Amino acid sequence: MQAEEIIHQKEWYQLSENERKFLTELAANEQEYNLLKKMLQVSAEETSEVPLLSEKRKLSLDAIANKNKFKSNRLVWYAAASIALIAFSTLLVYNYNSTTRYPASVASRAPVEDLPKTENKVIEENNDTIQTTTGLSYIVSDSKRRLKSNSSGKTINAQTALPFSNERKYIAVNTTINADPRLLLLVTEVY
Amino acid sequence: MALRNVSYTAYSDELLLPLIKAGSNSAFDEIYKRYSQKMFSYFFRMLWKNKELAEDCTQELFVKLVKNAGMFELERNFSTWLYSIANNMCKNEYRKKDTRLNHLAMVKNTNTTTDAVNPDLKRFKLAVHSCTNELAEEKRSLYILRFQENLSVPQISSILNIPEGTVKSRIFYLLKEMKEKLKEFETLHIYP
Repeated sequence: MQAEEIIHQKEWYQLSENERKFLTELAANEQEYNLLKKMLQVSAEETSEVPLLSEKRKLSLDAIANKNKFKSNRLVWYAAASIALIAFSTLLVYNYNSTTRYPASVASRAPVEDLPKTENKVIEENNDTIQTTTGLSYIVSDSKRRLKSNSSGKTINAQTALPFSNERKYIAVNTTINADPRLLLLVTEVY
Repeated sequence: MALRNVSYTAYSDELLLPLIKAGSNSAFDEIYKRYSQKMFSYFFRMLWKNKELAEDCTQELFVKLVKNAGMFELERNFSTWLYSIANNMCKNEYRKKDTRLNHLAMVKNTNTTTDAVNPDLKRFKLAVHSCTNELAEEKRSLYILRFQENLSVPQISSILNIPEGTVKSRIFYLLKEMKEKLKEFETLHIYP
């Protein structure tokens, strides 16, 4: 048992010899023993002097607890909204990029040159060329030559030589300088 | 969602904590009912009998309890854990030097009312209060936990984080010190 427990529970005359020896340093005589006993008694009685805790503190605590719950729920909603927004934005950007990459799906504004029919003997003799309205001639690609060799000797025009209008692989060659006055002027100036 | 009408009276303190962590208002209400006045009493005595300050600390303590419910080790005693948090809060208050000095001055100037008819007994009670207020922080904590909260030596050892032998030794020398300060009352008629 502790010193203070002995002092609290027993009177001086109730102490055993061992207990008195044990408490000598604290209480050498009955007066000192009683003083300590009274001090412990007064200390214990101080409990009754403590006021009651105010009820409003509990209400404040409940308000704080509810506020924290709302805050955590709000964060969840913000996170979900952010994810949805990012997903939607990604979808929009992807859709836009795919449209730009494949212009075939959009109507082209580039002028399509319509190669006219030609009756030029030079052209007829040279089955590899086709003359345009600007005086330039095109050498038809090998695949088209093969096609022409199979033909019945009709005049070649862009439509017959070119079954596929988007497969134009030509090299432009000027067969007649006189046909192009600009070229004639250029040559004259140079030489 | 937690139901407010669920009664947790039969639950131990350690069983209520996981429920509080999960958001149970009823579990928190039960813990509050058990410990609010006790902790307020501790703060009141430790903090110079300042009611407002003690109430603020009590509120803050229970907010900390809710926030740190997950950090409680189940093998530990809940009561001592709560007291150790309260003790640390009191230490922080003591560290605020200006606050401490103001409160000491306030306590000295205040006449503590007692209902003692015997004037010598009245003086003796005032002297005990005065001695207690003048104690250093660690001794004051020990005095309150042992002589007013009636906690055991092992519990105090856990709260203050000191060995039990040290607790016993400090209590012994504290009694001796108090006795020396109150020596003038040895011969007075203060005993029933």
